[in-house]
Amino acid sequence: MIGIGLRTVHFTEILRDEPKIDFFEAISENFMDSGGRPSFILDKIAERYPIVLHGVSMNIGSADALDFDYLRKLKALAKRVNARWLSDHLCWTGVGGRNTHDLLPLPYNDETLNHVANRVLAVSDFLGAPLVLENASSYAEFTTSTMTEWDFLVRLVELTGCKLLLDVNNVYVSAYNHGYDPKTYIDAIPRGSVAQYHLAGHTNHGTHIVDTHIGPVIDEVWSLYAYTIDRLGDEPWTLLEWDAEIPDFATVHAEAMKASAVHA
Amino acid sequence: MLERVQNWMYGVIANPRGIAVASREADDHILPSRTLSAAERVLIYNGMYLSRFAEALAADYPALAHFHGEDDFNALVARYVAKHPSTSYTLNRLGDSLPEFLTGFERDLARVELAMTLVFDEEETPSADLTQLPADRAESMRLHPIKAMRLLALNYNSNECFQAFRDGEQMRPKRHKNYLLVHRKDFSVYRTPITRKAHDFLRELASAKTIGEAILDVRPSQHELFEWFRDWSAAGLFRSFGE
Repeated sequence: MIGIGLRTVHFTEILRDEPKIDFFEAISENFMDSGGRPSFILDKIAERYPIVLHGVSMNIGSADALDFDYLRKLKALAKRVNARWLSDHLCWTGVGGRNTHDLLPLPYNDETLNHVANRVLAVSDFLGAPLVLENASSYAEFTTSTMTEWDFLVRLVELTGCKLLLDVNNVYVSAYNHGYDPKTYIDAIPRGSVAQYHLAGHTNHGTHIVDTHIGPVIDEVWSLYAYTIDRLGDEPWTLLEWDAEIPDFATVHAEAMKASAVHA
Repeated sequence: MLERVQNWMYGVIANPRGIAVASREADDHILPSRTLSAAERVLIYNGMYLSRFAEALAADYPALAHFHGEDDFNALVARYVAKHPSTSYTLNRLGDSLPEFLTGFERDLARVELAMTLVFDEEETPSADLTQLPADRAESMRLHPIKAMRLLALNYNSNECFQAFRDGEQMRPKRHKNYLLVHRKDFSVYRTPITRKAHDFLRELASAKTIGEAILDVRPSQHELFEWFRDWSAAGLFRSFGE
């Protein structure tokens, strides 16, 4: 299954042309509070295509209390569009009631693991479905970390039964930024724990890479994706994200369909 | 421990003087990489914080952003976000307090743009057929407006200036009392200049007064009433009516 991140600039083309694509991923927060045209169009697209919801504000790793008003709206949206699953990021976005709207890294240690695991269980219970969590790109590591990100994720899966959204580009970006082999990360992920893959472009500043979702997927990430498929299988759904300088739908579609060549 | 480190990192990221804090304290919390110091690494997040908010606010307030120019607008965003940090899970609500943060023409222009954003996002509600109003009891009826409607009393020609921005022309702000109806029909947002009396009449109806009470308060002519109801019915401004 190969899908594309649903973006406003493509609404007209999608409704008009009904392109051949297996599914769309919608950013939850873009539709949770909108009763206007975006919601109308999402409903139309959901009649034709499977939808998965992808959030950026669950704040699962924050020291703040969970926001059940947010979760109620998310659950209602998921029901409305018959979302196959709900995903968000292993990160925190704000603290003290203030939101940076960024995907901020966590210190990987037992305290954080227990905190996040309890919240993942609470959210999954509330939503009535296992939460799917994505590895976010990161530009900083904490002195208080006592385990790697992949060890943290594997233990989180063991403790909660959550599924992973393995962003292959993010593995590449974080590996570059933190100086480890991305294949070590992939090797640690248990087969069967992944619900979905993400692919995207990024911006390399030389000293570090920023996960900008701009441009096509680079060859090194396609190679890592092929390695991932070989290790973890192609049953998880694969999705292409393109969020900056977004080209026409045909260009994004062509980029996404390169994944099918990897599967073959 | 987690809360402490998150509060520290938030303080660095959201603080315009985060560089100084990071230089002093980053080594206590962040590891260096092969190419960047601990401070440089955390400041990547600091650098993206305001640009993200500037991008979001420029999307909601494009005419205001254009009127300011990029550098001035970014400075405005920095001052605004310092006083009104985002407290919502959605960036869509970030700019809700921006009109009150401004003065004069800028405030008026921001009110027009905020009304458009709010109307765009409002829940869709079907319109009532006003021809079904019972003629013999019309004055005792209350009309309930659709959610996607806002009324503005403006002190500047901000609607004309917004249109000038849309048309690629220069904005020429002038002080001028005027009234604007912003509403949505078939998922398109409309800005309609209206008279003061029409504004006041709609405001009375929106505050749940009966048609008769609104007539007594505003005292429109028969001709005005005919034109208003003809136009507002066509615009689908009311979702229901009742006593």
